[in-house]
Amino acid sequence: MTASQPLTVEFGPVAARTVLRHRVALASVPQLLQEGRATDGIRFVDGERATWAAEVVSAVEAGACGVLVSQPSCCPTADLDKAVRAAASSDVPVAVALRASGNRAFLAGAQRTATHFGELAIFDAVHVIAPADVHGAALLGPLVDQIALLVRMAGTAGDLERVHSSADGYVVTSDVRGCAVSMSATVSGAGDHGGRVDLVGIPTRWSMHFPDQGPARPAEIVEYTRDGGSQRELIFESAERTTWIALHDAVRGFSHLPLDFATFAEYHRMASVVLGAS
Amino acid sequence: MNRIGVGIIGAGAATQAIHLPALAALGDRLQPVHIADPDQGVGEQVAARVRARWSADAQAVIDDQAVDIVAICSPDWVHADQVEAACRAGKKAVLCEKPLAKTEADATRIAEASTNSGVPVIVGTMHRYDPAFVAARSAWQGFGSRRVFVRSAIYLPDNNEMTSLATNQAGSTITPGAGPAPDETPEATAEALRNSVLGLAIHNLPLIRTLIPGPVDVLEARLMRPYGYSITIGDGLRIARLAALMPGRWDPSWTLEAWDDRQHLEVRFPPSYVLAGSSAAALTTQNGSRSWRFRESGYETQWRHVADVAAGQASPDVSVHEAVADLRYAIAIADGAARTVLERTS
Ligand SMILES: NC(=O)c1ccc[n+]([C@@H]2O[C@H](COP(=O)([O-])OP(=O)(O)OC[C@H]3O[C@@H](n4cnc5c(N)ncnc54)[C@H](O)[C@@H]3O)[C@@H](O)[C@H]2O)c1
Repeated sequence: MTASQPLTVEFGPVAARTVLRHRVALASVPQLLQEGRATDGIRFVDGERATWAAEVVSAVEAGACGVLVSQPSCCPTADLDKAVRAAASSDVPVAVALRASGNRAFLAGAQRTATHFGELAIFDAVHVIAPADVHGAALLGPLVDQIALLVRMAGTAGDLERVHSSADGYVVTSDVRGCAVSMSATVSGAGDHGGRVDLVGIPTRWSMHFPDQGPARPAEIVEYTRDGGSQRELIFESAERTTWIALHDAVRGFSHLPLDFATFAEYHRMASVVLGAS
Repeated sequence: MNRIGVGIIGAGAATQAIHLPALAALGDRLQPVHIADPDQGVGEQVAARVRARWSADAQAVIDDQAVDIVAICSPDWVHADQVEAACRAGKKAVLCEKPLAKTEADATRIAEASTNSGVPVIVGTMHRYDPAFVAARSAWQGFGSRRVFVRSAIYLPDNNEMTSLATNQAGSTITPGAGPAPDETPEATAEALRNSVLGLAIHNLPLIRTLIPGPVDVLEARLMRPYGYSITIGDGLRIARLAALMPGRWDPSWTLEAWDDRQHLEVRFPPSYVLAGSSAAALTTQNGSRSWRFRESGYETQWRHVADVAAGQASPDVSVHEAVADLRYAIAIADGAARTVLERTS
């Protein structure tokens, strides 16, 4: 492979609905990535499959230069640990598409929000999920995303407590340096899916609205202070495209993934434990 | 058309910033004729502004034959006695500011007084009358019947910011949480949490009750300083997250959202005090969105309704029994939240 040629992306077994939105994303980066067959290219793993962690191991062992896991569902801890070890020992970047915590507009301003975290009283996040995106017994993906978002700003997720959990949603709380954290999700077929997050302190308040995966709708992130509201740059890019570019850049050695696989696995474990899915 | 005489008990911020401007917005139909407030400086000044009589004693307003409607805008803890007295006097209608009362016993007393006297009692939870909310609510299919997730988020600046836009206030505006840091004992925290539910959450709770009829349990609750809460309630199937904080140094935001398996309701209310029109409400289904917004605020719509009720042209949209059920719902949540705090610290 040379720097000037696109990296090859090979899809493993995957639901048609899922592959479609990734093909749309790939079509928007033809200079970087192209679908094809190559064991040393990037392997796409469908996280909805119960065997997804084992498939990551197989891809790494077969010589893949990178792996993208879409919507990882619940999987045995031992399998996840094995996948993390395999990726680490071969130095293969494994990316996971997360709609909120991987969002570029969020990441660009996360440091600023982090410096104000100590002033916050409320962190209130809710993800609204399309019924078609619910797989497995638990809604792990949204919670992993919310944990990643929280830790990016607060440095920790605190001690997570399950307040409510069902097949259709959850409410998880914690306390991070005096800030009341609530992370919840609900399944709805109403459309307008995505994530909402309010960060509220007396001097500053943020309102964040992350669109659903798939469409290239921008996240709307507004910071409110006594001078009024200021909105972060609107980036018309889908979560899938963002993730593919980040993975491409990590494989090429241009930059690191915003969320490395070992850290993702840790959040995945935390989410599994609190939702009673492990 | 005959003017309907309005007597107002309590001449503070709610009266000056909300009720007098709302009455003015309705033109000649309603006429403030008598205002009571034990604070002579405030009471006299406010009454003079609308050419009404002033009395120190609330009973003088209730006994006044020119008063058809009694609006109770006094501190919360005297509401029940004053509503009862106005009912006993056989007024045409009573508008009582929220909360109607602060205890179950007082709520029962009010329901009995209204039923026995036949005097309609309407509670000043203006969002319940907000025309955009009402329109969106009636478009929502199957209220209270399914799994639902509700998110109520109220983030407000200092009350002074809004009252100063709504009136030149005689006396001062009290902003919850703006005073010195309160006592932090578990009992004081529990009481502050209870008060924040009955003071602020109470606006959205009647709306939430139409989605989650109850009984509900308080699943977790925390007091926010200076003033606010973070509470989760649920009935096993349906869940509501309630968050509030004030006084912030930013623009206000007051939202109520609900999702069930096929609908999303989103209501963005204007802040209290100002007559800023209705909320912006939208209902989204798989087939797209419908949205509503009207010129008139919930305050004005509510007063128009009170006038219709007093004139015998309408019966209350929310009966006193419904209002008392709303209050019981709120009291159960306030008590449950307070208990959660005490249990956590014991
Ligand atoms: N619906 C809303 O948006 C809204 C907004 C603010 C307040 N409120 C409600 O309105 C009521 C009044 O609140 P406020 O902010 O105007 O308070 P406030 O303290 O500004 O005014 C209360 C007034 O009542 C007077 N008063 C005290 N004891 C009295 C008595 N026994 N009889 C008659 N008057 C008495 C006080 O002197 C004061 O002038 C409260 O119940 C509050 O919850 C509703």
